[in-house]
Amino acid sequence: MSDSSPSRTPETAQERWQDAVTRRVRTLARTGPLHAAERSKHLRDLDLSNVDFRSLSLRVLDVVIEEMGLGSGAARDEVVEALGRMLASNAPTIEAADAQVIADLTVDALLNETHRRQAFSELYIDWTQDEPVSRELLWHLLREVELPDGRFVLRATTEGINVYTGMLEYDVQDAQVAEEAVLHAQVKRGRIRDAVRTAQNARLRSIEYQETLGRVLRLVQRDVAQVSWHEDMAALLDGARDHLDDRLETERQLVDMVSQRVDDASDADAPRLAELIDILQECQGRHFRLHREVIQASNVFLDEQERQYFRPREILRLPDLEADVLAPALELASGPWADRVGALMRCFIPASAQALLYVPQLADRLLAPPRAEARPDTELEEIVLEAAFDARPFFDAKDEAHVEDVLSDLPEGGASLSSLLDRLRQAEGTSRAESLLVLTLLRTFDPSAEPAGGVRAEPARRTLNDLNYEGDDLVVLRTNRASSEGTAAP
Amino acid sequence: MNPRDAHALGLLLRFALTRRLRPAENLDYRRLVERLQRDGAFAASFGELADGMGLIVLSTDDYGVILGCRDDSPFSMRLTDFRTSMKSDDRVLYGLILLTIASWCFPRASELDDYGEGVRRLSVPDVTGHLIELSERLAENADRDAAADHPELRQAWRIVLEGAASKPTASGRRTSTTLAGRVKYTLQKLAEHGLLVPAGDDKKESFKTTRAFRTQLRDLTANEAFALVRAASAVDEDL
Repeated sequence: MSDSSPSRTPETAQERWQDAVTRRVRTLARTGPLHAAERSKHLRDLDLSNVDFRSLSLRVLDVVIEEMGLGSGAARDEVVEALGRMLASNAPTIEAADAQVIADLTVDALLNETHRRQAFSELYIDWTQDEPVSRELLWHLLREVELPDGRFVLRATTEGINVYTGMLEYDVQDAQVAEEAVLHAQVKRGRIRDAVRTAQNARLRSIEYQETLGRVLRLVQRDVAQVSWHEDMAALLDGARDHLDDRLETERQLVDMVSQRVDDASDADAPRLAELIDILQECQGRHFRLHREVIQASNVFLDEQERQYFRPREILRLPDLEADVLAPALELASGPWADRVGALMRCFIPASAQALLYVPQLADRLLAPPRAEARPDTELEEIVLEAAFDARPFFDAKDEAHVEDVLSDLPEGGASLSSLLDRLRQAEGTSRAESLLVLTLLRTFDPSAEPAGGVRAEPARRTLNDLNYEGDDLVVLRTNRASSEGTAAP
Repeated sequence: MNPRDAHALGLLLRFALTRRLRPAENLDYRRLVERLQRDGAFAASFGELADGMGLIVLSTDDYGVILGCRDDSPFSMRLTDFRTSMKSDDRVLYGLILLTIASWCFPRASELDDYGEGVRRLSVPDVTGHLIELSERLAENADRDAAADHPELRQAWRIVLEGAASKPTASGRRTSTTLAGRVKYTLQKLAEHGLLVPAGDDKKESFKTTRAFRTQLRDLTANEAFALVRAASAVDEDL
C-alpha cells in the first residue's frame, strides 16, 4: 500500500499556534448554521421541544450524500420523506403537516433560504499575518442544482460533506489516505465491524473528492478563459492523477485482503465482509471514472478552448447587480432610463424564433369551416381488435409433456441434471424441451421460489457433464406435497 | 462543408431557438450538441452561422445551446413582444423589475460567477417587497419631488412607489397594473423563455432559476445592463 500512514495531519509539530487557531476558528464557524437553526426554534409557532434541528440537518446531509454516491443528488421530496420518518420515531404526536413544515425549515436553513440562498458568511480574525486581520468566511452547505433533464436535486458542498463527517480540518486527499491506512489496520487485526464504519467514511470521502475535482472540471467546460493551464490545471491534474493512482492501487489491495478473509470468516463477520467489499468496489468504480476524466481533461481543455472561441470574453469584471446596477438605476431620471429598457430586454431574454405570417396558410385557416365538435349523444363504435400475428408460446405442449415425464420418474434419492438431460434425449425430446427442463430446474434452485413440478434442485458440487450445457451440475429431488404447494420453500 | 453539414447546422440552430427544449429529451439535439463539443470545425461553423444572424453562442453543454442576441438580431425580444402599448412609466417599471429579479437572485458578482451553479428560488412577494424596500430607503433621504412638473425627470424609484400604491381589485385579485401584478407578469414571461421554472406553490407565484438564467446574466446581461445604466446616468447628469 502506498502512502499508508496518515502522516499529513493538519497540525504538525512545526505548525504555529497562529495557523492552528485561524484554521480551527474557520472550522467552528462552518457548523454555525446548524446551531443557528436549533437556537431560533423557540421563535416558531410550533411546539418544537422534541425537535433537534442539528440532528435533522445532519440527516439531510446524510440522505443527500448517499444519493450523490448513487447518482446526481437527492430530490427534495426524498429528503422531506426521510425527515418525516425520523420525526415520527422521536415525536410521534407531530402531525404530518407540521412534520412537512419542520422538514422544509431544516432544508431551507441549510440552503440559507432566508438570505436568498447566498453563501453563509462569518467574520473572523486571521492570526496568520504579521498583524491580526479581520476576514470574511463564505461557504455553502447545500445547494439545489438543475440536472440536464430538467430535474432539480439537492447536493452537499465540500463543506457540507465535511460538516457531516466531522472532518472539517482535513484536506480531502489527506483524509482519504488516512482512512485507508486505518482501514488496512482494522482488516488486518480482524476488527471488521470497525472496518465497515471506516469504509463508509472512506466512501463519503470519495464522494467529496469527486465533488471537489468535478467543480474544477465543470469550470473548464463553462469558461475556459478563467483557467490557466500552465499555472493551475496542469499541477492540479498531475496531483489528482497521482492521488487516484494511489487510491486505486490501495483499494485493489484492500479488496484482495478482505476477499481472502471471507472463506474463514465467522457467521457474524461474513455479511460485514461482503458489505466491506461492496463499499470498496463502489469507491474503486468512482475513482476509476474520475481517473478517466482526469486523463481526458487536457483534451477537454483544448477542445473547449477551440469551441469557446465564439463566446463573448469576460474582459470586464462582473458588476455586483444590486450595488452597481439596480441601486443606481432606481435613482435615474425616468426619461433616459425608459429609452434604454428596450436594449435591456434584448440582452435579458434569450433568442427565440418569432412566428412568421404566411399569407396562404392564414387564408386557409380563416376560410376553413369551424371544427366540428363531437355531440354528447353520439354513440362511439366499439372497435374490435384482432391479433396482428399468431403469437404462439415458445414451448409447446409436447415439450411440456416430455419434461413432465422425466421429472415424474425421479428415483427416491434424486437424479443429476446431467442424467435427466440424457434421459430426455433418449425419449427423443427436442432441444426446446431440453431448454425447458434446464429453465424449470434453475427456477426451483432459487430458495425463495415456489417449487415447480413437485421437484427442487440443489447444488451437486460437481461439473455438469453435458455436450450442450456448461456450469455446475444440480441434484434434482422430489418435494413433499406441502412444499410442492408452496407452503415451505426448500 | 457539405450539404449534410449545412443541414445539421440548421437543425442545431432550430433546436437552440426552440424554447425550453433540452438535449436530454431529443436524441437528434443531443447528438448535435455532442458533435459541437468534439468537432472543432463544426463548432466554428456554428459560431459563424450564429454570428451572421446576430446571435451569440453563450454556452454549449448537456443543458443545450444558449443563444444571446445582438441589438440588430431578428431573434431578439422587442418591447412590443414583451408587452403591447407600454407607456414610458410602464417601461421604467418593467426595466426595474427585470433588474430586481436579477439582483434578488444574484446580488453579488461572486454569487453570479459561482461555478457551484446553485438554483435560486424567488416569488412575486419577494421581488415586489425587495423593490419597494429599496425605493423606500431612497425616499427616506429624498427631498420633495422637484421634478414633479417634468415627468421625464422624475426619479425611477418614485414611479415604483406610485405603482406600489395601486390597490388590488374589489375581489382581492391583482390586476396587471399593480406593481405585484407587473412582477408576476415579468416572472411568467421569463418562465416562458426557459429562464425560470414554476416552483410548484399553490398560488403559482414562486419560481426557480434555471441554468440558462444564470448563463444569460453572467455572460451577457450583467455587463450590458451595467453599461446601459451608466449611459443613462450620463444623460441624467446633462439634464
